[in-house]
Amino acid sequence: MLNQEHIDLIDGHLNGGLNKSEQQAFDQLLTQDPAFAKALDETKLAHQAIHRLGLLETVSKLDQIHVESQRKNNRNKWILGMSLLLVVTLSSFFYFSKEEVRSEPTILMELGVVETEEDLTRDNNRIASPTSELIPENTQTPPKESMPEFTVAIRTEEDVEIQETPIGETITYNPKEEVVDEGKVREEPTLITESRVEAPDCSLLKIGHVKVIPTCLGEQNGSVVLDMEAIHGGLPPYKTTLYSKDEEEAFYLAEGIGEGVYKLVIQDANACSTSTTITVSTKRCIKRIDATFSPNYGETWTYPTITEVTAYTVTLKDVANRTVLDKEVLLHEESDWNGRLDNGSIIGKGVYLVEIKDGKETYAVGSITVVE
Amino acid sequence: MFKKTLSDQEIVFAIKAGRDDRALVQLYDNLFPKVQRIVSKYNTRGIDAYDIFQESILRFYDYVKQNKFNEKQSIDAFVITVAKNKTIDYLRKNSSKFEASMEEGMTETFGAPDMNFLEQTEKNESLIGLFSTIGDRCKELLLLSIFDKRPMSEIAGILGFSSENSAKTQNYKCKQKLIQALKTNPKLAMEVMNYA
Repeated sequence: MLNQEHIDLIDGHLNGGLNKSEQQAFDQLLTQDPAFAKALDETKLAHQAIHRLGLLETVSKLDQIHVESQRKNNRNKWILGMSLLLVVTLSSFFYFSKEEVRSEPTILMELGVVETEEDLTRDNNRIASPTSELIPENTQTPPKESMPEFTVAIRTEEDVEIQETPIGETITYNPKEEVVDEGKVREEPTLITESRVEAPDCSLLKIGHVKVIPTCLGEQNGSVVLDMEAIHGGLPPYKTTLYSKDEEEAFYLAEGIGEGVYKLVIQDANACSTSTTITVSTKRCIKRIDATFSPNYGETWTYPTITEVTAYTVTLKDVANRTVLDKEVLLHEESDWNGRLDNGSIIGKGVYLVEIKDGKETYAVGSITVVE
Repeated sequence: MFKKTLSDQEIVFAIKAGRDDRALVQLYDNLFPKVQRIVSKYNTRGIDAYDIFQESILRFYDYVKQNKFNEKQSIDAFVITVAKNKTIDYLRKNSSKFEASMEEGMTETFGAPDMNFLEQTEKNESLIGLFSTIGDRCKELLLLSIFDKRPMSEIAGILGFSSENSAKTQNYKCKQKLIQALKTNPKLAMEVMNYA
């Protein structure tokens, strides 16, 4: 049972606030008191869970800031949009007010308005005058049947050129079309600054199936196997590198990889690279036992340690498959077997099959040779 | 009135002390536009600049809270570097996903679990669910004492405990509740262990 002092030592350790004497007490307890060590592991786990939750809470706060900011931006955009709309509306109003005056010749033409050479001469003398003066307000429209054989004068937008067209020919003036043309002319030529040198298409480089062999629990013997056929779309030779999760350490593809998440990066001869994430998982591997000892001379056999296992059953069978030992071992209480059987006698010399298991799970198998 | 801009040192201190509301707004205002520019520079269609920004800020928080952040380093440089790496990661990952969809008979090791914090939605939801079993008050107490590292005397004041000792006792009980909850969910406990 933990007392308050132990709890404070654990908290102090996790918060990095132990002084020298407290640290010494902590280290001593950690090595001598399994309950203390267990409590430390559990508390550490709880702290990690809270740390993770704290980060999630930070995400919520950040989301609120983001939403609020987006709302402000949208409001500003709306105000800006409305301002622009107002400007455009006002500009359009003034523009089309002018257009109405400009388009009068067309309208007048459609109505059959014609002017005599005399009128034209008079008008040409007024070309430099403001647009509003070009068409007299009191223009009279003569009846069609009285139309004489004259040329039609059309005042263009620029008011500087006079086109002469025989009467009867359809001429239209569409200010909108002119705006479109103007727009086309104003299009700026696209500047092409990119190099035209053929670059390799790095998107073609892909990694196919990667075989991952898990590592045994508590060991570092996993491996990653990548066949050449699994690399597509690149130019050999390839450089393959396996990075650990935090990218601080690079491994070359090999055996002896521990549990974890890795990034496999492949670079081809064109310096194109691609990557994929590799997870090396763990599996419980059955250990092999091959031991020899002489209990008659005081030798013992050390129980094998199995990762994350504190108790198991050791079964010894002789060559006739008879069970000679079926012993439950609590590893924190005993670490060696002196060769004595349940009846107190020392096991006889010979080869025995040994199996270590817990319930249905087998942790280790092999043989023990007992010698004189 | 103009608000004073917090220095990097003040931001780190505020985050460590769990008084980070203003710091977080400043980080957002200052760094989000920069991250947006990075994401657009990489021509990353389909990637939300905000996701990248969020991941980068979380990495920064994680470092600060675990005292791993080198205070001589500029916060801007740290977050921008993380954002660049995250953007490149997303691009690489997308190409892997494409490959995964094309290949048949992939093992579970290919296109493996995502390393990004926020993409682990299911795990995050499990964790939030786990904390709901210990109650909101316990959750708040543990966040204040462990994540924000607020002193017990202050926590007693915030949460209305009669004394510092009372807050301390309750803190221990809540932690035990959490440990028990984690024991009943060993899969999640294992995942929590791997977060670190």
